[in-house]
Amino acid sequence: MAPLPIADTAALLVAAPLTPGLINRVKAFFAGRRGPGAFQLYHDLAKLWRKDAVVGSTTTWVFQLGPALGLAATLAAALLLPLGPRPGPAGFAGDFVAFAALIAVGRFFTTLTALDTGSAFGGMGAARELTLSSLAEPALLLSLLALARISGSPRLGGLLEAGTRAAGGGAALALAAGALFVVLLAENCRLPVDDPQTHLELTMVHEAMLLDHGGPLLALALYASALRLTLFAALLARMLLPGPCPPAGPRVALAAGVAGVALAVGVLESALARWSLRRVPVLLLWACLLAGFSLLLALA
Amino acid sequence: MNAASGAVELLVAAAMALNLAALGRLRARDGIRSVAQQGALLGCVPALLAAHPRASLLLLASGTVLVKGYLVPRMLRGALRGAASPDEERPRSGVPYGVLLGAAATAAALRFAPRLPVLAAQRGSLILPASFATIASGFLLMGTRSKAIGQVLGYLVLENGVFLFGLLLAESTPLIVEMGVLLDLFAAAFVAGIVIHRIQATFASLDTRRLNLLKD
Amino acid sequence: MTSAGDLAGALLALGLQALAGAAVWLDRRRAGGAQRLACALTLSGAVLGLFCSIDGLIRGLSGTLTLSGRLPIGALRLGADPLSWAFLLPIFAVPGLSAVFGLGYHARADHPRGRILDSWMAALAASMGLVVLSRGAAPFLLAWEAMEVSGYFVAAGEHGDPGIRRAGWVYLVAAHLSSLCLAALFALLLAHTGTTALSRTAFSALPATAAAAAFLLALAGFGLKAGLFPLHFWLPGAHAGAPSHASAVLSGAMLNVGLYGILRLTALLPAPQPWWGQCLLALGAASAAGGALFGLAQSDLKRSLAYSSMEHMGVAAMAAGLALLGAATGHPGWVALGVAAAVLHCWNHSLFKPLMFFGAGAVQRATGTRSLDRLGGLAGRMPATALAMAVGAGAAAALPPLNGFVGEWLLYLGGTRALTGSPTMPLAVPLALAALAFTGALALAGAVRIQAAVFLGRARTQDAGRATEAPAGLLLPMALAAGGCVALGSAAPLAGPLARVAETWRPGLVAEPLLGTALAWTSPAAAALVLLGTALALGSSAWLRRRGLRRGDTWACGYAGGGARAQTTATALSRSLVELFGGVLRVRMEGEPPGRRLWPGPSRIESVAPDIVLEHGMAPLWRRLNRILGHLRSFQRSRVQAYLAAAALTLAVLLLA
Repeated sequence: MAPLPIADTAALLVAAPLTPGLINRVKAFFAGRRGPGAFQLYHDLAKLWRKDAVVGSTTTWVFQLGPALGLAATLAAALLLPLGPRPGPAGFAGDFVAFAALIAVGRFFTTLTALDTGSAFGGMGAARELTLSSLAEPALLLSLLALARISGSPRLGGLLEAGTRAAGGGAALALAAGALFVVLLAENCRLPVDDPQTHLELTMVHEAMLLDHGGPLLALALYASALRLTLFAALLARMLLPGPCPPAGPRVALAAGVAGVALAVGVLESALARWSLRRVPVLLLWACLLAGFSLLLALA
Repeated sequence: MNAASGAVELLVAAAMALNLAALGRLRARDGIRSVAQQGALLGCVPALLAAHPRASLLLLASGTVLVKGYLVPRMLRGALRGAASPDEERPRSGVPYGVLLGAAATAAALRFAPRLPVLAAQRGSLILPASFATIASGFLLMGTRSKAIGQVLGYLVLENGVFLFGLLLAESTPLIVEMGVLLDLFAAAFVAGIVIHRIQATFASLDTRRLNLLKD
Repeated sequence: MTSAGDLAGALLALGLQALAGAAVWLDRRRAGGAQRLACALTLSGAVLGLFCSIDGLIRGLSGTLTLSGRLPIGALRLGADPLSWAFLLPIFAVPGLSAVFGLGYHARADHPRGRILDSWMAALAASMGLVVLSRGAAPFLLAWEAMEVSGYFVAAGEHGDPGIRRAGWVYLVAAHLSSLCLAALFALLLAHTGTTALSRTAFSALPATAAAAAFLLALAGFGLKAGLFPLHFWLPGAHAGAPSHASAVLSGAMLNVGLYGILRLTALLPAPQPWWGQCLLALGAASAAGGALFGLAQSDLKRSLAYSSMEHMGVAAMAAGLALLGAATGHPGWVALGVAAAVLHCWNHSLFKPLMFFGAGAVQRATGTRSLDRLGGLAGRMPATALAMAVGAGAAAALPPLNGFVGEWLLYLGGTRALTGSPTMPLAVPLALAALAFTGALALAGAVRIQAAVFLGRARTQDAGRATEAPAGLLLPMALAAGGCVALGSAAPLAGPLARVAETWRPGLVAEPLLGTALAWTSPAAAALVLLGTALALGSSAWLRRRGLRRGDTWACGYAGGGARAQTTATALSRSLVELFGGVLRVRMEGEPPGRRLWPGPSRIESVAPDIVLEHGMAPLWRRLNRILGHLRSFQRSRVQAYLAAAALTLAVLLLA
């Protein structure tokens, strides 16, 4: 008997902290360092989870509940994503919009939590996050809409198979994949947009929002961001996988695809420097244009 | 679709992307590079397009690549050399509306070009919409830039668009006409280069808005 | 109950609401008894009206009633069908909530002149109801005019503030333009069909060009009322200036009437054309994106909320546009999803926007300001208000599992259906969806901005630091509206009523199966999401308590100085977004920045974000018109002999012609 879709999702939830670990391995390789192991985030999470937390005296219930609520939204988004050969555990017509909206719920709580500290750094990170996502979210939705047009399906389960269903949509598919990759970099604060390993508070986006989190709260936020990265990688991998059933089985292929995306991100991060904040919106605008042209080509 | 026409489509698509890139570049050197790349890419198209590569077409292609990809940009860079003022357009934070307008023009060209009456062989090809998009981008570039160099770049992009349009008729146009167009372009860029150099020397800036002083 | 019974009940409910306007005059200026009586009357009217409307909507009842009386422009006919019932719901619900809120917020002891406002609000509620129930030009125009006039006095009548007076004038100009368009619309109808009845048979005789002209007139007249870009110029000023419980009615009920008008007229006009739908889609997309963007630049809490209203009306207009496009091109699926999305989004907006205006009122009452940059830190002092506002902000940002999400999602579903189901399509649909995606991201930024600036961090001023929680009388309507926002998030039971409305809008349509399957997942998904969130939140806070939760200073990289004013303000939070779209927003800095002189003295700088249509479009236009039409003034002030000559000349021309 084939495992249920929920089993695939559970496997994804367990494996999520591995994705940033893989990226860090790739970066360590290119930098010629030994670097942290691929399982480092598991150790960090376990350590943080056992600590006690110090919260700012100005903070309210928003700060204490925000990370958990943000994680809940990301978990719900994970439930929508089809991973195995069947649709996700909770697929329905129009679920791709719900996926984007749940990612937005996560952002709602992350930014509110950052602003609740009353720290100027948290506010700065939140302002940047909101600015960048105002261009990243349209790019995400537009590329998903293009995929829906190509595949003729309004469900994530169908539209991620656009590559196998439609003949001749190659150019549109490539543009959508490019847009989704930029969205992955922006939504997960990866390199040309934000440096996940920076130590300069003034330049950070995501890390600036987490500055005042400690202990279990930080663990929840870190896990949620690893899960979000894995979700986007799985989305992209699932879309680019050739054929309905690769020889090694869909799950192995998907895992390999996620690892491939992590590899690509790692190589990119090794080769690129962080862009100035003024240039990043232009990059995201390009992502929107790519997605828009993808939709336009799909309409023709 | 054979390999050659696939390559043509790819080149033309890249040229359309370079339109937007040129609109997004604020530094003159970057703009010159984008326009040079576009010219060189498009220069290769006639050689790929012909069913039987004639010597004359190959000559035209190599001539175009040479002039647009090397000579003209070199001249423009030379004209800029020794500029007292930074060659940058006024840096604006915010959405580059030029790129958005260019994208809208490209989208409109892609949408409406198939409705035009063209030869059956050209139907479905990107060349016609790309030609419209490139001409529109050239106009936009000329319209949105205040420095003289930006306007020369706009003219070059515009010419690339006309060149693309001409490719639709490549089979039936005599070589001599093409070569004449190329020569015109070269001469125009040459003159523009000299003018830019003179403006630079006189006004220590390339801002065409300052040329209003010459009105009286 | 029969259709006649429901209609009579609704009219009785409107009568009760109007009676409340008279009841406030029963006692002396500072005694609150009459206000409580009026509130009770309004509430009983609201309950009766809601009961009749829900009954009529669920059972799909429709009926008409002729009150005889041969007026010069047709009979006084009233009637109701599911489309009317759907729009009567907010007209009954919002004034009811607002009356309860007003008892505490605008208590007679503190606002002795509030009786005038209360009377006009009662008149507004009753006239809005009559507009929706009208079935002919005579009652429609009369009720419309009454609504416009009472809307003016509600928005600006009470104030001596010159800014609010000016906003009132702008509102009045817009209201008259709107009435003018509608009068022209009915005149056109009368000229071509010989009747002014609002019925499908009367409209069927309209030739194609007249139908197109009627559509454009309706779009202008009702678009002005609904606040669609660029006809929204009156909206921010009028909604921000009114007292908060009045703003709730203006934005939660009166804007809907504009959208009702668009839906009603497009339901009646024969042979809709695709470009009608495209027009509406484009206008809606511009309003949605524009409203979300302009709202980000405002530093006044209520102005920001007013722009958010414009955004949501834009979303509803987009949905109506999709339905119209579907009707013109023969796609029943688009019609069903479009009408359902438009109506559902109006309902949603009528819940979360009054909620947010109530919250703004409670905050203003507690702190004395609505400037976003002077608040902060209220979540600790006003936790219930903060929670209610968080629900409202989440719904306004279309976040699941709240109701705002379901409405926008239905529109996405309709658009996706159009994208996947039809080989060719006008570009308007994908463009509108792109605008919707952009709007959603900006609306999230706006919601975070309001919530954070008002409630999070530390208090930026002493007044904000001394705030106390709103009394129960203010919290009750907020709690009811917030409960509604959560409840409507599971929208599966609404499929039937929404299908009734869609079937009324386009007879012969079968919408229920489609809407039923589309909405079926919302209830389990919303419940699951609420459960998941609650479980994780409870689990994590229990774990935190067990591990030990210590309080210390906010770390902020070790820099504890700066105090409360060093926090990120609302202006700072949206600064980079505002700069990114600076070409559209035209925000300017006024005043002198410090440090220009050798010994900098006190200085002030202010970011001013005027409405671009009002400042760069309407105001110059009116100035120019005034200059041109000023020449006509000489006729007005001329001598009697000149008037006589003109009259004689006219007579001669008429006789000769």
